Amino acid sequence: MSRVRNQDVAAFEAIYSSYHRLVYGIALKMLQDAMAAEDLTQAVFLKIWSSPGSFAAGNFGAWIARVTRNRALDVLRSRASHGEGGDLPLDLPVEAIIDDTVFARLDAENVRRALDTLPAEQRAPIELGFFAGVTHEEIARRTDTPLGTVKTRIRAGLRKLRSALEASVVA
Amino acid sequence: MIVGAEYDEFLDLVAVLALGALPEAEARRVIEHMATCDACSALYAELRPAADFVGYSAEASALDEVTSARMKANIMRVVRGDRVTPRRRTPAFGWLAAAAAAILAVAVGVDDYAVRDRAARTTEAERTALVRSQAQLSERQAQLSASRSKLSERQAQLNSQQSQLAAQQAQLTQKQAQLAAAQVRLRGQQSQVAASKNERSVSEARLAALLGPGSKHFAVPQGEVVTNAGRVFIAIKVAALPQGKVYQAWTLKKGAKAVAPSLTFSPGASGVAFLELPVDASGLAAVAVSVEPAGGSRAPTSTPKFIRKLS
Repeated sequence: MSRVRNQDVAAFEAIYSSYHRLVYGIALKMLQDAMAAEDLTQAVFLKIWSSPGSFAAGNFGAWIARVTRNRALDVLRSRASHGEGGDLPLDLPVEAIIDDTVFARLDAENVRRALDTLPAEQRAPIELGFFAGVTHEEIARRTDTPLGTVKTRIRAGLRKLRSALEASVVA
Repeated sequence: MIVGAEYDEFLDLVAVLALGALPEAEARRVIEHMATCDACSALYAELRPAADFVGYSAEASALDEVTSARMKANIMRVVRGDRVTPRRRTPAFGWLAAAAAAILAVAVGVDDYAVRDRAARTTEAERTALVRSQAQLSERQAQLSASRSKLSERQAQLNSQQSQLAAQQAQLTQKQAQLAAAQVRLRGQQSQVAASKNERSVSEARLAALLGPGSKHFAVPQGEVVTNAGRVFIAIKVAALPQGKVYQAWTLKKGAKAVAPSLTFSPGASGVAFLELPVDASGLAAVAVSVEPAGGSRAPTSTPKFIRKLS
């Protein structure tokens, strides 16, 4: 990223090649629209090119995933303003808090395997919360589960997911 | 200070915040709390990376090479300051693609990401609005089709009812015609009845004259000629005649040398004929009957069946 900050096109191209499938994948899963996902992917990478300083430090993959999710939430809010959705959660800050040393070697396959270790009742609210961009109240409504139970399952699920991710890195 | 069950509930909310699934107002409350609570901050720092990596599971390993190459080519053109090649879109979005490319090209020219960002968001908002409008249009078209279908169905029902009505009307007209015919027949029968009654009363009057006091009877073969108070009657049983022939009565006045033609007649179904001659009996010398052509003759053309003197 330091080379990108110096407007190194080749470095940017390398970053694009490494992460565009991640960005496009998240956008597609959240927006359910290939053209919108393509637009969003270009918007995210243009932001990186024009404002490379927005990424301070930490795990770049986790950071770009969060940036993508926040931009997708913007689109979902736009749709919601046309009556296509309900209450949406707050964008999360994309500060660099990721433990780079622990998760530096994570890839999509590691994450999928870690998610597979979660019980369905924990995995479902986590995936709904991340990809559907809905609040915990909407998750409770969609899964027909008491709100308190949903919150508890999210907390337990994220703890278990972290442990599984750490284990996959160590292995 | 938050303690006990309420605190545990707060820890749950911290986890939901880390996932990014907390509504704005609630999220701000939890963020404020974390600024003063080490335990909650620590939990957030622990769970947030796990939540961020959830996105990795969606990595599009199946993204096709053509799309991938086109996306890369477009963004690298923007990065290098070249013009963007619009991607192929459906015809409905053609103008939008051109607009997006133009907006993006302008954004590159001023090298201001904020402008590009707004353009991208505007394009997305426009596209979303267009998709929504198109969805509404499709929905209205579907509703219109449904209405047309119902209308056609209703029209078919109306046509069917109209056909039934026309058939009923035809039946009614036929029945009215039958009724009119029946009424005509009835009137005919009534006329016949009236005629029969009239004929019977005439016959009864004639019979009364024939059998009344002062009547004189003059025998003829299979019948008789009767006079009474100046009236003259013939009552006779005769054979049926071939077509074109009738019986004709003849009268001979006193002192006359030739007979005069009188009524023509045919017998009834029983073979009996009963008629009154339109002459004054007091001036007659004789009565005769012969067979004549239909319409009668001015003078007898055949030998009379009988000639009867009235004295």
